Amino acid sequence: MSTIYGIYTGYHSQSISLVKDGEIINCLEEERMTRLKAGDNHDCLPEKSHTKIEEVTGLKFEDSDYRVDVFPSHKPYTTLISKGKPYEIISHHTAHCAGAYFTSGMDGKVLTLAYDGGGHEHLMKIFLCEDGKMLEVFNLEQSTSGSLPHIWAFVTSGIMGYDQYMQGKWKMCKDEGKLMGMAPEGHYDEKIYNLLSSVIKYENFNFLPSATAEKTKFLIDSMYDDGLMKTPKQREIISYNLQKLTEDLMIEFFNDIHKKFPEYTKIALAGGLFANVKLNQKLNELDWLDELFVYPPMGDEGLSLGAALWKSNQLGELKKPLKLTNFSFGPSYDEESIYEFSKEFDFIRTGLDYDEIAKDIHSGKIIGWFDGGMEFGPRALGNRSLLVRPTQLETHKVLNRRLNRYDTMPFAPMVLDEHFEDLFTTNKSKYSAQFMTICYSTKTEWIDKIPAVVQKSDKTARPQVITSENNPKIYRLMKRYFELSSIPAILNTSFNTHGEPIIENPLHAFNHLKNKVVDKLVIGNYVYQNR
Amino acid sequence: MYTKIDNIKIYYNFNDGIKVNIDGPDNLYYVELREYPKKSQISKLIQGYHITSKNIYGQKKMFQVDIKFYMDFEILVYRYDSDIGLSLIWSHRYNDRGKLVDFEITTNDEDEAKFWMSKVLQYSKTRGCKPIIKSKFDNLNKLTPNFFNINGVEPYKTYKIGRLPKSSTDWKTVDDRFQGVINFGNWKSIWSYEHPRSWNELNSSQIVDDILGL
Repeated sequence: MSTIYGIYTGYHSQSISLVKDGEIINCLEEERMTRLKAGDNHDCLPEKSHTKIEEVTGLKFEDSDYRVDVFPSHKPYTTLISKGKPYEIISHHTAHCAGAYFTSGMDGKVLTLAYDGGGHEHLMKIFLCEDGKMLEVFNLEQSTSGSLPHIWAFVTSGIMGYDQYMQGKWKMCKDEGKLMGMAPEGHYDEKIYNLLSSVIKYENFNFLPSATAEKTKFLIDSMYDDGLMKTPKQREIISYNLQKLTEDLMIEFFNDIHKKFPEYTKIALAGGLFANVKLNQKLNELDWLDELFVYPPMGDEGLSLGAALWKSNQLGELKKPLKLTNFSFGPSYDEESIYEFSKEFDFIRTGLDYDEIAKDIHSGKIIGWFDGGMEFGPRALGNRSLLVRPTQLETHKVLNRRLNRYDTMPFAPMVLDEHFEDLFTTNKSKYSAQFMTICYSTKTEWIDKIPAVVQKSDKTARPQVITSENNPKIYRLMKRYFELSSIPAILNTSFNTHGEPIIENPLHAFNHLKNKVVDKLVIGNYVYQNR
Repeated sequence: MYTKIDNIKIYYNFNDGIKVNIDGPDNLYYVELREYPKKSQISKLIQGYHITSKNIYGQKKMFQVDIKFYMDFEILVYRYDSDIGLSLIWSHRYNDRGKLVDFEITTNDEDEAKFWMSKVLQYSKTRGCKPIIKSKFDNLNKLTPNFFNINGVEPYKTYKIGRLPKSSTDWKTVDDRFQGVINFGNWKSIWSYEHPRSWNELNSSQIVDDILGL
């Protein structure tokens, strides 16, 4: 029985995780501690998260039984904190795939695939997995293959133009979600589709040409010069066609994978590309696919956990994929420490009354919800969330103003498990939907009832399934809200203002209450509000 | 050297690394350097970025990769076509057959210079190029047939053979993730732009073989 620290010291989204006896104990991404989003703080090292996780777990990095880093590794840093103890470095995409497979909850044959903008030598790896064993069967090399995630990164960086220092006004590894959010407002344009296709094509298990990043930068800068992305509408058209191209190529690729490995109808995915929930929806709708799982920390932040799980499996301590009820592996705070934080402020504090909070939501108040361990990965899943009624489209204006968000960025619903099929056209891959990683088409009769969480053009939503097991408190609150409103959904967005990482500790939450970002703050078993 | 395609002039030079610049009507051109690894027909990316033919703030005017040792490389130049996107307009694969090639031998040891010269001649015979040898030893230099006949002729390529130190242009070595080497395309790592591997760990024969790809 072993303690294993996984660490990722690469170029962005650095993180650290602890696995003990085959169980996930703690995971923490550096951006939550530095308070600078990964896209704004490339090349940092996981110094603060390393310190914090040692404080939380009481286990020094060097005192763990095993230490695993991931390529591309910052060896001097890992060597420094290992204090002379040995450590392993594993392949970037092996760590991605190990994270996805060992948290997929899937039995039997599982095809696990990771595809991203690159790490070490590769862009993609595929493993055939069964009974806790992973067999690598395919990879794409960076030097000879192309990367769809690179296109997303560089279109994101260039689409809004550049500042005086020639830096993109939008940031890669940060603002791709905004670009995806614009897509439904655009339409198919053959010329734009073909222009984008000139930097990536799919044929015979390969994406070509290579050097997608550099070629996309050239293409986007040239399209910008050509006046093709001056207006918001033009940018929406580019976004739409990029989304369509991504879906077209990946569906063709996955259908080829199915022809090659027809007995594998369960798929687990990781890598930055699969932060694209619309793509995940298209993949989930493939008729031959039985179940899709998208690793909740699908980007590079999930590598540290993947590395630790991989080692645990190698040691024979993790024998099969874990079925998790949540991904709240970050720091949590007890009532006493929360109270200590609150002393800096002059708030009214009352006990948590679920009926009262449900009424507040029903009346349009914005509720900050801070409870338990912080989520690991890009989604707030009810532990660091803002909760709002989903029934009024005008809610967007209020939220966007308070959070300084763009109006193209969609909001997502939490949905009571037992009502999921009432609202959406399929219930496939519901386990993954607990982590808000797949879009679903909304049933017609619900579109007008929950307009604030349905994409207005394509009528999709990115639901999070709430069960009495995965988040008992939120489940209880939603039941109360349902009794009041007959709506089994609540708008859930991450507890942070735009450009800021999701909040980590009670102080961050209290500051947002003080600054009137939220009307009330539920934290632990108490409700706080301004006087 | 240059080549002309319609109204686009592409200048290229391999005498101090690999350099390309372009004179043409477009604002931007994309240039890519790829290498064919030994016994492979699939080229791998070394470096690619776009350059401008005009004075545009923030854009580079020259494509440059400072690798000076032998590589079986190919240069590709693309322009932006507003209907089809990236359009390949020129490619050039390194081929010094029949061309003048400069070999600068840097050693104070005459025996070593002779040995390296024999390796140069081996390279020249294999590849069919016309060697010009420059060393501290004039008697050796004059043994090459092209020595007296090169005034004003630009060599196709210049190789420097010696124990050459890392230079200030080896800027990528400062990144700790690269462990003191220069990394290209996440597959190729070199010790410096002059040497694929550190000469500290090589004998005299390995040094010249490394530089000339023998």
